[in-house]
Amino acid sequence: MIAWLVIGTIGLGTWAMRASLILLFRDATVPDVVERGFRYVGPAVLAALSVPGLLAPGGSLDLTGLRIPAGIVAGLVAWRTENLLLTLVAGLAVFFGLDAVF
Amino acid sequence: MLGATIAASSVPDLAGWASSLLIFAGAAQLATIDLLDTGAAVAVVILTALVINLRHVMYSGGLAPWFREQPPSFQVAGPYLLADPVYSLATLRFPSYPDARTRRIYYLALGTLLLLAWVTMTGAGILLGNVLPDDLELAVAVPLVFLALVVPMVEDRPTLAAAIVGGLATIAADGLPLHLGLVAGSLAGVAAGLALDPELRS
Repeated sequence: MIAWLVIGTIGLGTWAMRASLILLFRDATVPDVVERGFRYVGPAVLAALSVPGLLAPGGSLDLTGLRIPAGIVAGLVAWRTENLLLTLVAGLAVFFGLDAVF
Repeated sequence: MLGATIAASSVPDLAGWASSLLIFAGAAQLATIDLLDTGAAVAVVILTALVINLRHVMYSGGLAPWFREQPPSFQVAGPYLLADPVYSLATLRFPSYPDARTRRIYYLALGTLLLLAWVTMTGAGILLGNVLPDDLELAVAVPLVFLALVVPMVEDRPTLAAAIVGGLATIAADGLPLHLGLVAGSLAGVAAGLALDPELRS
């Protein structure tokens, strides 16, 4: 039940954000500072979601985990291909490959 | 991927599946399922997902000039379909279309098609995830997907700084209650990007 409420609220909030400036700026343009700020939201938030899961899966920094080589390879594949599926497959292959060896 | 995560989580399959229809934004859905599963406070789950989706405000601003020529009902209902690929394709194609009506039809067709494909794929992923063995360490896939999403967003030094600071500051802020380290770390990343922003420094 809680899950439904949370998902419904996020859905409503997401629609509100998608409609926000379309409705607000029907007759004006978006101020520069606002637009520049939003440019960094994507990289900052997605890195905040990704990096801790790779470098500190238990909460504190752990530089010996298998997630680190998996993340490095996945990062390189993402950089070269910008392909989500390839990136995921490469990262998982390294992780489970090393996991089987060690 | 999202489907398999939903299947492996404690979130009911149907609610997880409905998130594709209600939220229609993969990264936010993944974070929502992940946080609900780890038992984060409701306010934190909602706040995190909405912070992830803040970029949609930017999309809204980017398409605002094109929506000015559209009827009011479309200005309200159209944004529901404004997912990442819809924004990028609309920005790319709109200038070459002759009139508002053609743009509206293109936008609706593209958005509806992507929504249906996304809902179908999520459902298939849940069914597939339910037949995979439970002890498979699928959790490692979650940060890898976010990594795949963040790398293409790094286009220059300010975006790189936003990503590096956002990631490391979140680890440093891990001690904060209610998963608020994620929000604090993200804000630090945005601040780092703005500090290096070429247009604001000139």
